[in-house]
Amino acid sequence: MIAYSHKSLDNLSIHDEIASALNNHLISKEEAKAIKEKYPVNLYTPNLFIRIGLFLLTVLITFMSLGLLAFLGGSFSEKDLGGLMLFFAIGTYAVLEVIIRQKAHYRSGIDDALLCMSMGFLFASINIIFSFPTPLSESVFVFILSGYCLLRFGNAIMSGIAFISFLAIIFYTVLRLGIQASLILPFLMMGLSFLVYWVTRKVVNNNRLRHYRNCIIVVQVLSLVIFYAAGNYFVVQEFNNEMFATASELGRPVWGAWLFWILTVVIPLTYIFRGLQKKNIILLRTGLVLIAATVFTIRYYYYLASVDIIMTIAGMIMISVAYFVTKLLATPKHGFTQTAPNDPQIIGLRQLESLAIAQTFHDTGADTGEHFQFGGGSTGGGGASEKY
Amino acid sequence: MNTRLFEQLKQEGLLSEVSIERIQQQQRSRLFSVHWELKTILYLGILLLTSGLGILVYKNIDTIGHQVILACIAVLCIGSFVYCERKKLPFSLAKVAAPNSFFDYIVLLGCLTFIIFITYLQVQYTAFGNAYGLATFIPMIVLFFISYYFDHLGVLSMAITNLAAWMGIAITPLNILNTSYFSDSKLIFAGLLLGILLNITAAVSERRNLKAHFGFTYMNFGMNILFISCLAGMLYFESILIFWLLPLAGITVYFYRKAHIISSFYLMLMLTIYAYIGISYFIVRLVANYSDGDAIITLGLLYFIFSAAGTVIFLVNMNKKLKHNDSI
Repeated sequence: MIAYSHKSLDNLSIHDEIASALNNHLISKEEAKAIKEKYPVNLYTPNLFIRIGLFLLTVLITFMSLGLLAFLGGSFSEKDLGGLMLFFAIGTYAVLEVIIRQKAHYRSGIDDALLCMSMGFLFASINIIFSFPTPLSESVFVFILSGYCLLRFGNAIMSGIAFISFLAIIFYTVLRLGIQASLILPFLMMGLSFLVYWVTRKVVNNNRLRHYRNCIIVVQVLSLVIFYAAGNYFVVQEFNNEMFATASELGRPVWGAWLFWILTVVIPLTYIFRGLQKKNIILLRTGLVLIAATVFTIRYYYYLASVDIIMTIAGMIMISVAYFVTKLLATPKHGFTQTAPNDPQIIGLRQLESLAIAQTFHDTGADTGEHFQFGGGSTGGGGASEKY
Repeated sequence: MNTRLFEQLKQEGLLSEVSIERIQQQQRSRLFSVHWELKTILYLGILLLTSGLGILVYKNIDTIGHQVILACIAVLCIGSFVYCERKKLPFSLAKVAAPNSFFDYIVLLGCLTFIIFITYLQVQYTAFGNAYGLATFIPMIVLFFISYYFDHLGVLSMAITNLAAWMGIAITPLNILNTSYFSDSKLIFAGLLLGILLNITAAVSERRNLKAHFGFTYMNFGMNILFISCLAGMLYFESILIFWLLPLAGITVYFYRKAHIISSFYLMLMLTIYAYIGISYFIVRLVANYSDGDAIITLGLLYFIFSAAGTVIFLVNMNKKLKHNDSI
């Protein structure tokens, strides 16, 4: 089903393993070279920066062509534009298939751009031509499109979209049942997410699905997040207000509020605990990130202190935690260490790190108060989800 | 670490005994590293702490005693630098590694608290009066010193940003006598000067080995500022637009050569984007001046389609050329 040559993809993963082993000084340069020659990769994958440039240029060319044809065509009516976009959707997809088959493009920027635009045009044109009224049919359509792209190209983003649209389909279907929906939806969503998580855990190392490993991991992370979000008090309460409350009922706590509060606090802690216990990095990192969401949720409903005090205290707590755990793990304990893994994928992160520091901390001059930019660079990111 | 793969490679005789031994040892002692999680928590912690302190100071300037706040910030600042001074490895003009992962962030904390301190002095006591230039100059000098003394790239970036701010601030008071027409143009020329200065510093650092690894940061800032100033010049001086193509072409060629020397894909991409924007702007203005309504759009779109296609071919070729040595 997948558009790329199986052999090349397999050899590509071999190359990645070898590069990692070489960086950890496990094998010699000559051995690495010999192995790479024995398992050649025939894919065209340019450097990341070139890839970005090619992506931008491809988008530019396509949109300019669209503009040119629309302009020369004369009429700007909606239906005509929709038809033109449909034509472009098919055209870009055709070009995509051709360059993959003929020139073996793989994550080359050009194929990324063509895929995005093809799907975008298709979605937009169908919407214009048929003007879909219901979110449900939109979800079904998106699910089919993204599911196809996922299977055909192993694209991690498409897998994320497919999962979300799948949940959306269930969501909108249940919504039609009215008031009953508000009661079972959180639990239904949590149940589904848990099921999906369990399935991804089972199949992540399956050999037949080895080319889709990145996609499976993305879905795994998303399922963890959705599981939390479905039980998060803020989400449930606000959703309830949006959908079902009349003006007088607004603000009244939803049924079972206590349950959702417990879930909101307990789930991230469980993730972290299980992550540490099972040495599962995905659980651990997701848990750490979701703690921030929990803090935000608590603060939204219970004003504990002003933002600056909370930030200062939180900052002090985090620095202390980092310091003491680092001290504790100076010699490895229970299989944990605080030293950096020597992975080539991580080397890039170090450079990103210094750029992130420069981005987030810069002085704006002496005549105004200090304004610090938020959005600290996250050097995290699941081990396998760096490249897709 | 794929056991199956290495088994297969061993069977095919592609791995030597030494390598097999090392791989097996690695697989036996698999430690779970929480390094990046700890680093992220530390980084976010510092971010939150300094932001929180900044806002706290700003809001409560009236209530808490100024001396107390100033004293606390000073203590934090001095404490950080004392820690760094004690832990640091001996100074050298080559790259000096940090003794532990904590070290870099404490240097950062020290610098940030120092900046907060100076800002506070200025806002509360107007310690520098109206000499805004001086108020930016002192932190800048301190930041440069610290970046070299403790070998910290992040602080260097902050110092360079301060330098840019200082030049912007220092230039404008001179314009009070001039008309507003030239007031913006001074910034453009300041930018050009700054860009050239930074690139010279980069070249000198690398050639004379004065912290050669700082060279990339200097060049990165310098390149971006130079290109942006050139493009700003093109946009601002509409009538003599064509004369700005010369410096643009000049720096494009300079960085093109540099990209080949240091095999930098990043540099190649940046110069391509900037040069493309410059050339496109020039062509579009040309077309707009010498034709009318419909033709402008058609010609413009055609230009973009063909020029973008040409640039794609250019980038693909550059990728091939630069691939032989691999770096950023």
